[in-house]
Amino acid sequence: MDGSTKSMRDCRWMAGVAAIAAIAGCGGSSDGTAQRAAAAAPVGRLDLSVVAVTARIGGDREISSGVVVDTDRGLILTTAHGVWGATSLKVATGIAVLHGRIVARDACDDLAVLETQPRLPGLVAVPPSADGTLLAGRPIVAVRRKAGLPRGGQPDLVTTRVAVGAGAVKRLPRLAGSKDAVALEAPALPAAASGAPLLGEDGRLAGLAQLVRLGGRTTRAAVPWETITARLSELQPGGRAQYVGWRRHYRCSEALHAYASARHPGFRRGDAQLNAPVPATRLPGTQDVDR
Amino acid sequence: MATAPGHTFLPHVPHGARPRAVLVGVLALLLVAPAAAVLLIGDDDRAPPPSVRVEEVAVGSLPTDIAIAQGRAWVPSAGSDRLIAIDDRADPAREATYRSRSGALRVASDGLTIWLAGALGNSLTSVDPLFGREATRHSIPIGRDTVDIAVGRDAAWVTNGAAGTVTRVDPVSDRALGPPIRTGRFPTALAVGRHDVWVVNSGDGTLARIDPRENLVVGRRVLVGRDPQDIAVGFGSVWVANRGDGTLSRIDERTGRPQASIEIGGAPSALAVTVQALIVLDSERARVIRLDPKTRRVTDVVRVGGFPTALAVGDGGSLWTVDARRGLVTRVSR
Repeated sequence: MDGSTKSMRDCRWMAGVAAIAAIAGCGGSSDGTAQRAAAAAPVGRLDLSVVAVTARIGGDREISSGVVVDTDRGLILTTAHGVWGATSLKVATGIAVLHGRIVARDACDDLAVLETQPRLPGLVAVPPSADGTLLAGRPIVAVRRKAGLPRGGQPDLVTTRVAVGAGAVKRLPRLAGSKDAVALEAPALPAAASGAPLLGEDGRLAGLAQLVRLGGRTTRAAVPWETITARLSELQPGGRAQYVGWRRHYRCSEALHAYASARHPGFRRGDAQLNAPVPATRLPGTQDVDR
Repeated sequence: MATAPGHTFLPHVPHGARPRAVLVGVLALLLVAPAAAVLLIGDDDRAPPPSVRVEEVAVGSLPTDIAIAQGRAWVPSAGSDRLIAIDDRADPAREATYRSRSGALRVASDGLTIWLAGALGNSLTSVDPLFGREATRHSIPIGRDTVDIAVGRDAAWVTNGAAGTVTRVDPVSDRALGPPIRTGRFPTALAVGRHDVWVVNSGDGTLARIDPRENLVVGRRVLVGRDPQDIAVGFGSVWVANRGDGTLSRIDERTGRPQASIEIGGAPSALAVTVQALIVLDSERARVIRLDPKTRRVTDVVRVGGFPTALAVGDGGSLWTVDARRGLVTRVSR
């Protein structure tokens, strides 16, 4: 690689990052009102697409990120390890803090789909990138939201410039991890960004960040959006209130149980069941109620 | 010219007409009048329903629920974290705004106190608006999520979402009473019946029955339709709105047995009970449906527009809906 080519790539990289930073509203734009005005609409879109997920697992509070994938059904994609065994799920969006419930889990690829409750209109899905953007050297930005109520006016989004590593893929500790996952070089990206959307230079979805913090060490990886699209296409509404199609990925559940036990001492396996049994209670005088 | 039934018809007899002609006229009238009366009554049966009055009030960003108390409609605005009071008078208008400070999503009332449940924090909020704008506000720590709330004679009941439980709250001491009651996967909505508290679990599509004397689920849970969202008790039955398959499930309140599944279409997402009918809100097609509980037939449909998500019945029988997308509250009255 000669110097001019490298210089040009650096310029393109910086321009791409500046554009995405402007889109995400992190103050990256510096050349006047016109650019800010041009970026105004996408800011609103990202503000309504990126969510923060607060889960209570075994008495601990776990914060992760997510992205809206279906506006009609209010579905949000995040990482499974961030919500595994949660007894409380809160989804901070650009319009309100909502409740969340898990409707599908892919333990092998570390993915989970949440549904917001109540199901309100107003969320927006970011379109996916057409090409494989998760390549080493391409400009990528991770976008996450601060937890809590939206403050109004200024979007509570945090953007971090990341890069895909050219080396071998690091395995996520204690988790199976997607076979398509790539290593993410992002020392500044905190564990709370797990599940954050990764945007390419066109402002479209390129992947999902997967960050696992265990034993004081954070491992960072990314799943390409092509893999996620394939997984999501397997899902369909089930007979009850869940989504079905990821049954074959349940084989990796033991790894997530082990991870949750190691990270959250109060974790109970029963909390990670999607359909916990509720035994009927027999009280004097109520023996006939279900005959 | 149509004559209203019941009006006395007095034929005008020209001066000097022959008595025979008058007799024939009177006989003809006696023969025709009953038939005319039947026709007129029949016409009344087929007459269009009285005109519907639809009024809209802007309430700000993302209104999510509605309850009626003290002659007002109470609406939490999730986008601005405020509780808005609308006067239920001839010309409905915003009357007062209170700071919610709880990220309120759901509201319920026992006629006096307004209860708010939200996703922010693990607490329930009660507001007493008798003190004007500086409404007395209590925050009751639940320790778990508060997804929906219903108020009975001696308790407020809260569903706890991902925890799969229901918590009973004492409105006098403002404390949770007893341990949370496990009802099923993600209890979404609940209603207080004559003897029991009924909880619909949207995560597993079941209905659970809580005996308030023991704070325990009694009997087996009943399967309802897909993606159940709301529940109401009335006419001796428990009604569940199943948004996923466009049906209503009807369960006998006394025995707890399923009675019928009624096809409504669209996405029924909220229910209310009036003296004469069950009211169903179809969010998908933006319509309010009146259902006769005896015949199980739809008797009236009113389109309200937008994307309505919540429903309430006013003191005078008017229907209130909330359109979260447009930030509007709609009152439908006759």
